[in-house]
Amino acid sequence: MKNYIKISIRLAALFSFALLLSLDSSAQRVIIEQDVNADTAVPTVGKNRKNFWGSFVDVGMAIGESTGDSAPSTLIGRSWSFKYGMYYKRKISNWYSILGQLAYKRAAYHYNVDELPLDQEQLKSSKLVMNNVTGEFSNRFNFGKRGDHIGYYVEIGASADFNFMNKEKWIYTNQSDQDGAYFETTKLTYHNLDYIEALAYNAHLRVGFNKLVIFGDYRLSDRFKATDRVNYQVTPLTVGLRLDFGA
Amino acid sequence: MKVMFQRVVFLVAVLLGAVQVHAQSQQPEAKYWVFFTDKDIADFQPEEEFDPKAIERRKQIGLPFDESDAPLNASYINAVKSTGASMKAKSRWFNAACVYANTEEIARIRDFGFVSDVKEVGTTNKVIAGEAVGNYNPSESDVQLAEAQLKRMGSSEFTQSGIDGRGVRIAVFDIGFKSWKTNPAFAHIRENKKILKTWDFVKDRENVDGYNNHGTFVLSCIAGKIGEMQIGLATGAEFLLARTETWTEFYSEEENWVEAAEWADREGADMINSSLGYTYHRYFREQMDGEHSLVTRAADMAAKKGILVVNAAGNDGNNEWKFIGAPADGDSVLSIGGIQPSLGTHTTFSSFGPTRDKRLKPNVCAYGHVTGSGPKGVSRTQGTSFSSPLVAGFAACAKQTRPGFSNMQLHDAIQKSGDLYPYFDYAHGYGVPQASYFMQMSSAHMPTFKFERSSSSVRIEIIDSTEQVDPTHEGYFVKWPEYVFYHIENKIGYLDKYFVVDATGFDKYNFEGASDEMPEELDLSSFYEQHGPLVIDLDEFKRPFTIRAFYRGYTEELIIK
Repeated sequence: MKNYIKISIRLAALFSFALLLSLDSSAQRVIIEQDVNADTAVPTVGKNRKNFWGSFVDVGMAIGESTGDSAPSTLIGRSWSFKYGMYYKRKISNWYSILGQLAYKRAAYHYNVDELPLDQEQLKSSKLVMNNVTGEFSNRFNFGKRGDHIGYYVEIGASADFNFMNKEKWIYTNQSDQDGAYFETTKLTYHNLDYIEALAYNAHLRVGFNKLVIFGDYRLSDRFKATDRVNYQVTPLTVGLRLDFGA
Repeated sequence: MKVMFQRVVFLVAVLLGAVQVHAQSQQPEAKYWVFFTDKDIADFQPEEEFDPKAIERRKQIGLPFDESDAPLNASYINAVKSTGASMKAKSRWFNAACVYANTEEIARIRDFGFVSDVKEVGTTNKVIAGEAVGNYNPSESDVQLAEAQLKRMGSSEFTQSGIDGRGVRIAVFDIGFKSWKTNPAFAHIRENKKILKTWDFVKDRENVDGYNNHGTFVLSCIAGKIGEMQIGLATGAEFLLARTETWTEFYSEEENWVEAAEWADREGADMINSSLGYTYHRYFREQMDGEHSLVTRAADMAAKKGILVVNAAGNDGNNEWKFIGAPADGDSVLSIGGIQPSLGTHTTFSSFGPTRDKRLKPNVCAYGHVTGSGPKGVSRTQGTSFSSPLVAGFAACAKQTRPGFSNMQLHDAIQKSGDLYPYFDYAHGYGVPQASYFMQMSSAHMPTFKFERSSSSVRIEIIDSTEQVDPTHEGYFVKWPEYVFYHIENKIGYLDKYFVVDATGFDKYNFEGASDEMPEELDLSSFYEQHGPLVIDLDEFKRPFTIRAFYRGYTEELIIK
C-alpha cells in the first residue's frame, strides 16, 4: 500500500511537471516570430499569379421557352438552379487564363400546369428536380492593368453535367365533399426518371467584376430523351449571379 | 438550330451589354500617363509660382529650382488635347500629363515626337483606416487613451517646453475633412488661421469639407485639442489640406497624390502626412521596391525637394498581402507602423516590412488604436492611418527643435529617437519616437540582459535586478513592454528572423503541501536554458550573422563568426 502511494505521488509530480511544460505558453512565450526569408519569397499562388484555387456559389434563373410538341413552359421566377463548386485558374498571360471547374448543381423546373395534358383542375404544381455533377473548362479574358487581384473579365467555356438522382414532384388537390368545403392534397414524387439524359453539354459566358459575376449558361444538347410521355425540352437558357469566394 | 443560334446571340448581347453599361458608368476611355521629352523653361520664374516658404526651404537645403519645378510645355498640352483626349492631371516633376483617351487618341498621342513614353493607369484606392466606433462623448477611457497615445512618445518633454510645431507647415492628403470648419478639436487652428489653403484634387475646387470623416480624424491626431484633452502634438503648426482620394471614381488617386505633392511643394510644405496606401488592386508584393509605383516615386521626389513625407505603413498585416503598400515603400518616406496600446507591441493589422529590396520598413511606429475627433465628436478609431499623423505631429515638434535640419536629417533623427534604437525589426522599425531625444534628455541604460554563449547556442539571460527598472504600465500606457526583442541579421545587413518574447515567465514552481516524495520547488530554469524561446540555435543560420537584442531600453549585439 505504501509503495502504491509513493508511486502515485511520483506519478502526480511527473504529471505536474509535464503539465508545466505543456503550459510553456504561459511562461516564456513568443509574441511575434517572423521568418523574413520565408515571408518575402514570391508566391506562385494568388489571384493574379500562376496558380489560383477558389470556390463559388451561383444562383441562376431559367428563362425562355421550352421546345417540342405540346411542351409545357417553365415558370420564370420559379425555375432556378443552384451551383456550388471549386475552380482552378492557370494564368497564361496578364490578360488570358484557363480554368477548370468541378461543381455540384441542382436545377429545378416548375412547369406551367395549365399547359400539361392532364386534369388541370386537380393538378396544382409540377416540378422537375435534377442533381448534377458539373465539370467545366473555361477561357478567361481580363481587362486592364491590375495587381494580385481578380479584376474585370469575360469568361467563355463549355461544361458537361453528369446527371444523378432526379425526381418529379406533382401536387394534386381533390375536392373531398359535395359542398366544396374540404380539399385533399396529394403529393406524388417520381424517382428514377428514365427520360433524363445522363449527360448534357453547356456553353457559358460570364462577366466578372471581382467577387461578383453575371453569367449565362446555354444547354447545347438535349436534356430529355424522346419518350411517349415526354417529347419536349426545357428551356436551355439560365442566367444568374455568382459569388466568387476566392476573389 | 436557328433558334439555338439566335439564343446564343441574344445571351452574348445581353452579357456584353452589361459589360458596356458598367464600363460606361466608369469611364468609356482608358487612362494614361503621357510623359514628355522636354520643357520650355526660358520663362520660368520660381518667385511667381512658389510660396516664399517653399523658396526658403529650398535655400535651406541648398536645392536650386530646376527643370522639374517648371510647368509643362503648354504647346504639348494643347497638342494632346487636340487629339480629343481629356486632361485629368499634370505633373511637373515627371513632366507628364494624365489623360483619358480612347485607343485611337492614344495612338495619335504616341506618335507625337515630344512624347517619350505612355503608360496605362489602373488602380483602385484604399484608405488605411477602420471606421470610428464608440460613443461620441469622450469617456474617461477615451481621455486616457488620448493621453497615452502622446505620452508614449514622451510628449511631456515637448509640451512642458512649449514645443507645439509652431512655424512648421504640414500638408495632409486624405479623402475628405468633414467638419474641419466647425469641429471643436480644430478651434485653436481656425482661430489662429493656421489652415492656410485647401484643395480638392478630385473635383478641382477649394472645398474639402465633406466626403468622409477619415481626414478629420487624421488631422485631429496631428493637431487636435478639445479642452484639456490633447489628441495630437502639433497644435501650433500650419496646414494645407488636400483631398486626393475618392470612393466614387476609382483609378484616380495616384495622379491626385502626385498633383497634391507638387502643390504642397509650391505652397511651402515642410512635411506631408499621407494616411493612404495602394496595394494588391494594382500591385504585386514584390513590386513594393520603391521604384515601381508612380506615387512612391512622387513621394521620393517630394523628399528630394526637401519635404518630409510621413506615410502610414498599411493595415494588411493580418491578411494575404501582409506587407507595406505604396508609397510607404519609398526609401525617403518615413513609414509608420502601428502598435497595440495595452501590449505596447505590433498590432496585428499593421503591415510588415521590409521592402522588396529588404530595406527597413516601417521606420518607426506609434499607437494604432487612438482617440480622435470626427464630425460627430470624440471617439476611438484604429488603423495605421492614425499612427502616421501621431508621428507627423511629433515630427513637426521635432522640426521646431531643430529648425536647421533638412527633411532627411529629421527623418534620420526621428529614427534615432525610436525607443528600440539601435535595435530594429520589420514590425516596429526603430520603435516609438521619443521627444527626449530632441530635448537632449536621453540617458544611457543599464544592461538588462546578457548573452550566454555555448558551442551550439546563445541564450539571452535576463539580469535579475532588471525587475526594479522602470516597470511602467498604467492603463493604456506601456513604456517598456515586458518583452525581449531580438533579431538575426545576416552578413548583408538584412534580418533573416526576428522575435518578440514575453520573458516574464516563471522559473520556479512551488507545490503546496509537498510531501517528502515531491520537490517543494521545481526549478524550470534548466529547461528554459536549453529549450526556451530566448535560446538561439547557432546552426540554424548561415554564418557570419549578428544577434541583436533589446530589453527595457538596453540593446546589445553579438557577432557570430
